[in-house]
Amino acid sequence: MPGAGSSSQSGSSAGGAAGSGGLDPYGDRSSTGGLNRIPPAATAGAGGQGGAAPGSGGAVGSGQSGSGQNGSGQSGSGQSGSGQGGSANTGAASTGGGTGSSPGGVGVMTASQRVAVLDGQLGGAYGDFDGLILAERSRAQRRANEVGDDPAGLYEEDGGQGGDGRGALPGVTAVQTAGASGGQSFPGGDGQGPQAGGSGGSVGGVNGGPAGEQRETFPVPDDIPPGGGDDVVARQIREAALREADPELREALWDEYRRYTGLEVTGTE
Amino acid sequence: MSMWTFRRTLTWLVLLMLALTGCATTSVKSTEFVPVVQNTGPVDEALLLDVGVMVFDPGIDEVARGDLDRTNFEIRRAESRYAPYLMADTLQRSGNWGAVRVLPSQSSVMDIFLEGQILLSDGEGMMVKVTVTDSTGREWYTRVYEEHISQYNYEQTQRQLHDPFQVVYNTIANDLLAYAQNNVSDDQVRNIRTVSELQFAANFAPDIFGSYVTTNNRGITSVARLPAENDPSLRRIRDIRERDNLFVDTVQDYYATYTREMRGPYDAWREQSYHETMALDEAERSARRRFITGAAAIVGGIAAVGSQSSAAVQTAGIVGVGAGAYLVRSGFDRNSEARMHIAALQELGESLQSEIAPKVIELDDRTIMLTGTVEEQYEQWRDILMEIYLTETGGV
Repeated sequence: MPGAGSSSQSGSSAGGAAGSGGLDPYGDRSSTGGLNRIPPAATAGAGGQGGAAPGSGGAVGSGQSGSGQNGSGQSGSGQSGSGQGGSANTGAASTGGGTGSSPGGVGVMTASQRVAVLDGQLGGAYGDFDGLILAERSRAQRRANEVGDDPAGLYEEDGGQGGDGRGALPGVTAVQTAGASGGQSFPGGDGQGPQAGGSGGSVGGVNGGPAGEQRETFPVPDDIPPGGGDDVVARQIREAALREADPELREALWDEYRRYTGLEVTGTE
Repeated sequence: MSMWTFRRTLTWLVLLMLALTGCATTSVKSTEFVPVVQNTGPVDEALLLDVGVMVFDPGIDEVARGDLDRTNFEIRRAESRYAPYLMADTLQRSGNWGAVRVLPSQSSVMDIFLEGQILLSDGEGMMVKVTVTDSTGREWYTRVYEEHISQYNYEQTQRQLHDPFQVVYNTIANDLLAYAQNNVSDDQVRNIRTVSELQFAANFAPDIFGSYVTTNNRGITSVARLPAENDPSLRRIRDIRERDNLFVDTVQDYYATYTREMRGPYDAWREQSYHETMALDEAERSARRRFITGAAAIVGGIAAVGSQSSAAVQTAGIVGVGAGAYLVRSGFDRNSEARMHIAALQELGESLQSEIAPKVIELDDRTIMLTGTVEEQYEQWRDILMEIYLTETGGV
């Protein structure tokens, strides 16, 4: 078994990789023994609990947990927990004074719907972050270009170990702009392997990422206008709806989008 | 008899002076180049450890009092950001590791952390204390690396090939590989990587992931429990970690540019500092020898003069005292020469300092600014993660 006797390899202090006994190899966790494995969080727990989330809208707490992720069905059937968000039974958009990152105006949603919305928010935030990093790396690239490979003019001949054949300073890998080399990609890309290209190029899309998975989008309903004027929350709901594979959840998200942006709600509710 | 005694006394004094002043120090410096060892054979990517090279400790607190006047703290600060980049670059080029990054702080979790403290860097010698730990908190080793180089390392052909002290970086890289090969099993590597991921999660959102790892009273972190591979919260934290890596990689860009900016003037400074340091060391050694010899001659001469021996012996004593006084005086001259070299070193240091200090500030400012911006985003993500967590678990 992995880990058993691993400390004998160490010869180091502190008992080697303490606690490694019984742990499964990273990335292959199918046979871990002795560990308290936690199942994926069940979707939508006790009714009404959702409202306890910090800053969340009070109307979240639907009953009827769906099974598994994005639990199907049950949408709109929520029995609000006592005292949470008021009249959840009505299905009305009970914003419940929610603040923070929770989209205001969220109507009755199952926990899985809510998670989908929050995931959408997270995805939107990732997009902002990626944009920030891209901009920063562009700036860094411009700065690197200004400086040049050999600002002091001491190494005009071909470099040595670290040279890239362009007269770069020996041992100093040039700045690599994100996406400019094969070993560099943003999460969600198809980048392979972490090591290509030395530092500055060390982050590959190791596992692929959500953005790649979420790249598939579904058609926009006819009544939804282009989202050019959307604010952050509307954009996040819109993106979540575009990526939602479950048609029922997707329609609920579009309804939410309609409510938020003041469009007429045409959903099944 | 008295003539024999006179000769013997005089001979003794002359021999003593010759012995102490005439022996030139010969420094034999190896020019052997230690290449980076590359792991042979197939490598499983899952077993590649990511390495974080921390910004070095400039070692200012460790500077001996006698060396204060020949150490420029601003240059040390600049070196503490320059050397780790070369270290990371050396490790990366070795192909023995996963991602290798320079880390301005320990906020990002890597599989291995390499910390360095600069103990000496004057163009002639470099001494670095290196400590390696892994993400479980287990210390692999602490070693001191010292290298003294010759003028050969500053020749243009050599400088185009590598840093004058590249041997230090290569040796550190080779030691790290050797240690990992000999002391860290594949299972331990997997455990280290698992702890890294969970530790990152626990650091990022302790309320959600804090219980996945546990740290004992010796500071060793281990996995308390594992999330399921398809746990959505694990997927989210992996997404975030990838973005944290992107952030750190952006910082690498800063360091790359900084290193390239610094290298030219820094190498020029090191070469000049090399010569001044050699001359200074020689002047100080020579002065020390002359003081000792002169003092011994004076003492011997006075003893001879004060003895009840013949006039010839007393004459020899007087000669000895005179010669000793001369030596002491020349020792002072050598001291003055040493001071000139120190002044030259300080001047060189100030010149380089004025050139690189703004670059250090720019590097630090940019890093801090980006870190702050990223942290703001992280705060937002933490809030969303918490909402998701509470929604998924029903607040349990």
